[in-house]
Amino acid sequence: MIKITYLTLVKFSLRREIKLKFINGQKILGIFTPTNKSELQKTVLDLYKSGSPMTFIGGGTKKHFGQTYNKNLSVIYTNNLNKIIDYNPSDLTITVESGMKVNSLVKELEKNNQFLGYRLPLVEQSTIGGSTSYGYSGTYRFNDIHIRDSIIGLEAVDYNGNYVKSGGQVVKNVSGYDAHKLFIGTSGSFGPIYSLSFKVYPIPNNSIFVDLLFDDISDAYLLAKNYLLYNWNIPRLSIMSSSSDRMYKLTVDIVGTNSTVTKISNSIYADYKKFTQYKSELSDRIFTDNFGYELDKMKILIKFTSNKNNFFLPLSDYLKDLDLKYDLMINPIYGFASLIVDFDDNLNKFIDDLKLIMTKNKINMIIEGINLEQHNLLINTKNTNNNIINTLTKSFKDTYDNRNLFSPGKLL
Amino acid sequence: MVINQSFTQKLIDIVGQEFVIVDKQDMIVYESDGTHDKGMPDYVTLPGSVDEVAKLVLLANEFNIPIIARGSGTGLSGGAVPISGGLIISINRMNKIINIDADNATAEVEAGVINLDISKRASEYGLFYAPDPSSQQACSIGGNVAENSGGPHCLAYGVTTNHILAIEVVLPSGEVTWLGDLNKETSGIDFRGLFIGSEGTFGICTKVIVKLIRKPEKVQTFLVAFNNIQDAANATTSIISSGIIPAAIEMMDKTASKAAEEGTNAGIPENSDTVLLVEIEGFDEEIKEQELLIKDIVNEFDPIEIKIATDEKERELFWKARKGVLGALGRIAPNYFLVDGTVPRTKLAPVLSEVNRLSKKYGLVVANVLHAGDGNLHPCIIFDQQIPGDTEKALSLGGDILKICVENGGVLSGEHGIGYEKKEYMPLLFSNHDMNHMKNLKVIFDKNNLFNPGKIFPSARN
Repeated sequence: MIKITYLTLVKFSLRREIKLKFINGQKILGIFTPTNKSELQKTVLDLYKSGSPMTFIGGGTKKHFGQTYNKNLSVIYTNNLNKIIDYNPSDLTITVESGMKVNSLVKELEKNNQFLGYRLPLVEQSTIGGSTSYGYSGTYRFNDIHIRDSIIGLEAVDYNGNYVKSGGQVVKNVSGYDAHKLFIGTSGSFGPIYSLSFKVYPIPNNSIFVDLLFDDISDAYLLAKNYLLYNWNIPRLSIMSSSSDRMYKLTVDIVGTNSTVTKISNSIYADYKKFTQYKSELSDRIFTDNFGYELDKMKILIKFTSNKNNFFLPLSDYLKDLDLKYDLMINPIYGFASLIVDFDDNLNKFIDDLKLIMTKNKINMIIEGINLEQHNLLINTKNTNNNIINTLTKSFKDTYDNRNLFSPGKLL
Repeated sequence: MVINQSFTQKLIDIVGQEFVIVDKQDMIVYESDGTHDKGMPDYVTLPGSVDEVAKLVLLANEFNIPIIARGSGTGLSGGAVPISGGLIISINRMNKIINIDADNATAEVEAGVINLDISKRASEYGLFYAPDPSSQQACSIGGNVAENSGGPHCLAYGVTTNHILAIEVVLPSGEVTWLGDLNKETSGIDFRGLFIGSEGTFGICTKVIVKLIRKPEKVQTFLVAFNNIQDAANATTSIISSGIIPAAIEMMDKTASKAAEEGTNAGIPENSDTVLLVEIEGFDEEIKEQELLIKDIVNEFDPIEIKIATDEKERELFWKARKGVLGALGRIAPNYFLVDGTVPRTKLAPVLSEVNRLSKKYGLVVANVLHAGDGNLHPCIIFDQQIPGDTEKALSLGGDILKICVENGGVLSGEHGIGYEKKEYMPLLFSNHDMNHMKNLKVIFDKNNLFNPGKIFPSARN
């Protein structure tokens, strides 16, 4: 057992999480919930010195994803690091601690009619630091804003327990390297994030939704294609499908001035009449973007990414006649799709077939879920054949975490 | 450095006789960029392909000769200046637009392609490339990648890194790879994002895949004259706070706007102290709504005049005044030193007051040109290098302005990069730990420190 001298300072305050003894089969050695900058620093330093592998958890919404690692772990929860550090609405920037719940951040910004520009899933549970580490921006992105673009500065703790800063609190900055990119989408592999600075945006004046039904996905795509480049006015355009109804629902979010949203929605309805007999109306649905984020043990999530906005057509074609329970969400603007399927006896064959189709069509495919290893389903077709990238990745990990103690097994 | 004949011959073997320059007279054009920093290269090559670039890099490694990548030489931080000699690899011949994918709104181009040429080609499809540095008629996209360049319209659209999907690079090892994978959704380390803005210290960019944007239905440009710079700065903050995101908000103070008017006859009122150029884009109806709102806002600050461009010709004239202002300042004195700090935009008014105070203290004229919407200041210090001590005074004043920016929560550079010019100021902004963190990145990419040595980090660190 590793001796951790710092236990007197850290707090074991999260009863719910104390019950968590294992993550993906890894035994939890200790749970640390630092409440301020210096506690985080000291915790990381002590754990690193003692040689304890550690993982960082925000809201815990992603703790079951990623590859397993056969060493025991210490867990640092960031959710007590939840303060606003600096916010001047007129500057359209905000700096917060990484453990702040996304919902708290969203609400704070909304007081001043502002938002991040994108809408993250599971806002009640997830933290802004966890969302940054995961690097996903959701399906709603005003002006094509990705989380990696909206972060203008960051502070993190390195393996020496030192704070390292990159970027700043201004919206335009080329002073030194964009070293903060290292912490976005890398699952804590280079150390825990303490604070994040974001560029934020005014919430558009008007917002309406259009939901349209199609019986042929090619028709849905033909209509959608006309609106894929309305960056300022169509932040979200998704095609949803499910094995239960075999229909395709095109959902479009339109924002802007009153005249603009009217003009675009009228144009979409005019186009829609050319395609189908189904009737749709303006929707008053509440926006949610939790697709694929509340998986139970009997489901897996397969993500597809491509640089072509029609990439999903071969996937949809393949799914059409398949005897498999699934839910599909396609985001042609951002070139990705998410497919939720049930575990069943034919899953491995399905995955093998899918891999062939995706490889043929140059579509990347990543699988996420629980118990993937037991089902031999650890697949990430991205970059695995690029030795230069793999070597660079290893060099980065060796330099910034030479004992491989930060989120081991997640990046390499 | 003594010219190594064997090395020269090998350069010729790779790119051909006509694309190797070793004559000092012919290399003068390569000894500086848009700044006052100078350094004579030992060799200049103009490769025509990524294979040639990779061979040049391997050769330079073999002979342990520093490599300085160069685009069009329009940089404003001394980034492409071969301070300690070495081999310049100029990418100007690699200037093909390889492909425009209109369906997916992307373009694949070689790194030597001129920024504006991408938009010209993309306009056939109703698309354009958004980042528009003032030098966009001359600067290369590869140079833009190295510096993470901005421009007036980055207020709405973001800077270079927001518009690059992937880059082909030659690493210091001579290996060629793509960084970024063309998809908007990425996972793993964002090598693309790390490389962009690394000022030629991580390798050479040879190809770029850029995102293209749909051209707006309508563009409306306002030229608003104010009685003082504080009103203009506060009007800028009010416009942004109102929820409108203009495509651009540019500011010129009295000195700058006077010079611009003399150079262009754009119609800037003679009695104006400070001018704002505000541009909005969108659908016709949207523009009408925003036009009313902007007029209401600026009227709160008692403007001298609000002019709206009545046609494309007048709009271009307004922009000619703004983009040509640095050249026009040559009427006042032969030299200028352009500062590039950024501050939170609510700090614009107090920082400009401080700049004014420092200008008086040093006895040098400062013309303020700003990407005001982004809080990006370009105080332009006007001097005559023939007057003994003037250059030193200008540089010292520039340093003091940067200190004021940092003290007000700002940074050393908004869009020009640190390069050689500002590297000694890095400790104002970053601790030793921060700089070591950055330096680790440099070592991972370039362990022999051959790529653009002597840039970004303060001298002691090099």
